[in-house]
Amino acid sequence: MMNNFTSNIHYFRRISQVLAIGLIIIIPFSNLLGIHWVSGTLYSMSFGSLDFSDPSLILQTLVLVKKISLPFFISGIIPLLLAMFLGKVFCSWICPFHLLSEWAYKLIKKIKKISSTANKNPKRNFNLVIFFGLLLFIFLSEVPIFSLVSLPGIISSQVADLVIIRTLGIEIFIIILVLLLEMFSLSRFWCKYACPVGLSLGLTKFKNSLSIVCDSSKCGKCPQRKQNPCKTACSFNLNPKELGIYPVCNNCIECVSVCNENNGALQLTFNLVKKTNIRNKNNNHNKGE
Amino acid sequence: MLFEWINRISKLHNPLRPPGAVKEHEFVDTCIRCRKCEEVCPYQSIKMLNGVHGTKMGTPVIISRETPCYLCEDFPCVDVCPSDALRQVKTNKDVKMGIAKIDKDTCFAFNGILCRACFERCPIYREGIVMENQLYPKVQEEYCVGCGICENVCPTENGSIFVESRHPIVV
Repeated sequence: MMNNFTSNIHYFRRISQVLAIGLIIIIPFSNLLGIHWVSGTLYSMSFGSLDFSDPSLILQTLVLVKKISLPFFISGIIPLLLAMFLGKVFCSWICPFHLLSEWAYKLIKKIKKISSTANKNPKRNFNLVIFFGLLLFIFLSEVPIFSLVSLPGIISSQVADLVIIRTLGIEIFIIILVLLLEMFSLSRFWCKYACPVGLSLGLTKFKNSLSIVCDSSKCGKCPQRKQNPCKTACSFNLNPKELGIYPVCNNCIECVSVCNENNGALQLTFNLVKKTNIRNKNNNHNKGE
Repeated sequence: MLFEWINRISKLHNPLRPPGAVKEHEFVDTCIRCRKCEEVCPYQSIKMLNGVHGTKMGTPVIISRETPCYLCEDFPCVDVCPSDALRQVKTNKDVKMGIAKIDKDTCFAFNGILCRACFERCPIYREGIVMENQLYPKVQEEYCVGCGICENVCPTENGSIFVESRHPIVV
């Protein structure tokens, strides 16, 4: 059952992403027809009286306005809690820009060869430094940049514009610019290091969040190990065999799915520390032999 | 075309915000651009500024010459605002979106043509706009809420009564 799920994960994820795009198209239509039960964009969305807001905007409001209403604060905590247990699944399963970016990556991969042997995991606090750097910039410049560069928000509000007033704004060029940059020089940089939504969702990562871990006693026996299937599957150019893929990794689970077809060394766990300890023990044991 | 753009932007430098909006400089920081107000507005009075407007991109405005704010009884736009950029208003008299200004050079009433369009349609009837000597409309600044209905109904070619923001940023 579990194996079935992980090997079909790619299709489940695509369905989820397409449904999310369907939702942001349906919301303006239903509101035009007078059904206001679900409203908003990916900046903040309400289902009935339940609100979800982008947590980076909560922090931006705290920094800029220095006060915040309780319901707004709570609406931002809900996605953070979700990210605390499941990781940045918003990015990989819902975000429309992630889908565009993945397709752009696939396209460019067909044209030029991207080596996956050099996959490296970034320094642990790199994302934290960027995020708090941006917050400091907002504090000093008093420009609400998080609302100006939140790409899922821009995409969904452009869709709403297209439905309601049938025109697009020039902010569509921000999206095209980032996509072109990602294709021709900085591979997937936006989702990995720059997106305020992803950076803020990565803040609550802790040892019991859903994580990908490599069981090294099984790893290395895979028939295609020369091609490194797990590294090739990772569109973020990470190395899932090593620790330190978080907080960049957003649990798209493509690597686990690919590994599952070979020998299942990569696994999902809610207890990274325990699993890593076992792994280290196995390593020592192997060395002892 | 560029000139037209610049014109439109400068005109909207202190745009008319929906009911209950906080002061302009605070509004740009507080509004999170979620568009719920635009979506719930039953008259589609609320429009969104696009990327041309820089940091004001994605914030709501009311262009009253096209569609004014009709001051709903329950203010759904204020209700739905998650970030308190639009704050609680109880009755339509609490709304202080803007102030109407009359251009006496083009106004029919000041040019010898009998016209009471703005006076008749003002939702704060006989308070927002009064007729001096039964002939000349006059805006009562302390009662005018800035809904823009007068601007919308004005029969002159380009309109002779304009609603301006209550909290302009002077540069």
